Order: sequence, then structure tokens, then C-alpha cells
Amino acid sequence: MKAEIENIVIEKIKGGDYNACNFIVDKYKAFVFNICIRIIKNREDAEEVAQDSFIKAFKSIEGFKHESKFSTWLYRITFNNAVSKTRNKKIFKSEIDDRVIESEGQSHISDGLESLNRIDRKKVLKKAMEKLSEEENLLISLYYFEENSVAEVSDITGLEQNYIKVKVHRARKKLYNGLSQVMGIKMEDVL
Amino acid sequence: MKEEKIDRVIRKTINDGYMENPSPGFTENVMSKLGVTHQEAKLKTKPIKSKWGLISMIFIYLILMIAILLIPGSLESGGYQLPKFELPSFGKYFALDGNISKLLIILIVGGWFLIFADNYLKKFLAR
Repeated sequence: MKAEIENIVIEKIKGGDYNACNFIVDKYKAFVFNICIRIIKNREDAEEVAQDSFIKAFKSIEGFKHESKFSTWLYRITFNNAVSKTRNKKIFKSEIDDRVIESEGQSHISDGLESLNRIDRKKVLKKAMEKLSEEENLLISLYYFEENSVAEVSDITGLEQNYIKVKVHRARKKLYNGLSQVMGIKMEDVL
Repeated sequence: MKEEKIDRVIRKTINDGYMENPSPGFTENVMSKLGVTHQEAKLKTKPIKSKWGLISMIFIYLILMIAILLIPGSLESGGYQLPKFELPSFGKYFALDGNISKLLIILIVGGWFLIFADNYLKKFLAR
């Protein structure tokens, strides 16, 4: 039903009815803004770029052919816009570190997270995410946003799927370790 | 399995408001950059309270159905020359006089109503 409504709105915008953009902006502004802020690192600039990304998307909405999810298409525009604004295209891609990362105490992590209330869980996750590199932080966020698949993350960022798979896998392991550290789970208790 | 469980919790936390929110005037700024004032957009896109719209429609539908069921005698005797189908064991559950004329009307009106309700909701939720 929601997807149907979104399609109706998109068709309206294609027909030149910009009043309908309201619906799309309200639905996706948080995701779009978070992609920008993870790349740009400055709230004001990120907001400006996020707004410009919406404008770009609406002005070129004829190019959206329903071949992917609308969100994937929109995030790709946002990602490219944000990266070009940083004038630092080297943000991607870094070398893959081959060292093996062991993630520990996974059942303790999920149990620990679930036992926390909503606010504490956010705080713990934020702290653990801060331990990731910029690139890992962005990729893992895209991966978890709206259940984006590796293929969709690849579509958004233009990076190869294998590269993303490895990066996301390693970032997840790091995130688990970060979570266990932040939650104070002692490894000796786990082992 | 354990990883899936952690992923589920992380995904839920991220999508449950972990993300930073843009400033409150974000949507207005985008709309004004598009040349549409937010107030104008809101006026045009204000959704009808769909819950009450739906409840009203269901209420009207029920009244209509009861009215059809309570029409005295058979419909074909009152000028509506619908074919009479005698299905005693089946019809008694649907039509008071044992024919399915009323049932046919209920199905037609009900079908039309469902299509109308579906379009109504889609149209007004999307506006």
C-alpha cells in the first residue's frame, strides 16, 4: 500500500505537481540527511547538500524508471552530490585490511542490546559506530538503512559488490567488538 | 544465527531514530527552493483523516446492506425484474425470501464499494 502511494506521488511529480514533493521529503529527509552528514561532517553543509539532493532528484525525476527502489535512486543522487561537495573523492576507496578480526561474545551482545531501553541502545550504538572509520561508518549505515542489500549499497555508491561485502563484513565484526566494549562485556565472562 | 540476531537489533535501533534529524524547517526549505510554499503544499496535501473516512464508509456500507436485506418481499415483485434463483439451503443465509437477487445486489454494490474505498484511500493518502 505504501509503495503504491509512493508510486502515485512519483507519477504526480513527473506530471509537474511539485506539491506532492512534500510527501517524499518528509519520508526520506532523515535518511538523506544522515548520508550527507556522514560524508560531509558538518551539520549546516550537510543540510544544504541534502536539500540540493532533493531538488536534483525532483528536477530529474523523469530519469527514474522504476528499475530500482526509489530510495536507492534517491540515495545514489545524494551520495554523489555529497561526495562531489567534499571535493575529496579519495573518501573511497581504501585498502582492504586482510587481518582477521574475531568478533567475540555475539550472543552476549544481542542479549545485552535487547535488555537496554531505546535511548541507552541508541547511545551504545552511537559510541560503537564512532569507533569505525568514516568509510565503514557510511557503508554500515547504508547497509542497515531500510534493509538495503549489498547490491543496493553498490548501486548507491558505485563501488563493486565484492569490495562492499568485504568492507561491510569487517565493519560488522568491528561493530560487534565495539558494542561489547561499550557495554562493558568482559571477554573472560564470555569465554 | 547470532549475527542475524545482532543485525536485527542494530537495524531496528538505526531505523528507530538513531539517525540524526535535520532541522525542523528542512521540508519548508526544500519546498520553497522548488517554488512551492510549504503552507500551500500542506493545504493541498492535507490528508483527509483516513481512519474516520474509512469508518464512515464502512458505516454507510453496513446501512446500505441492511437496507437491502430488509426490503419487504422479493425484489422482483417490486418492479426490479431480477431473475429468481431458488437456492433454499444456500439462500436463507443471505436473503430473507430465499432468492439470491438480493445477494447479487449485495455483491455488486459491495464490489463497487470496495473499489471506491480503495481508490478513495489511495487518492487521499497520496494527495
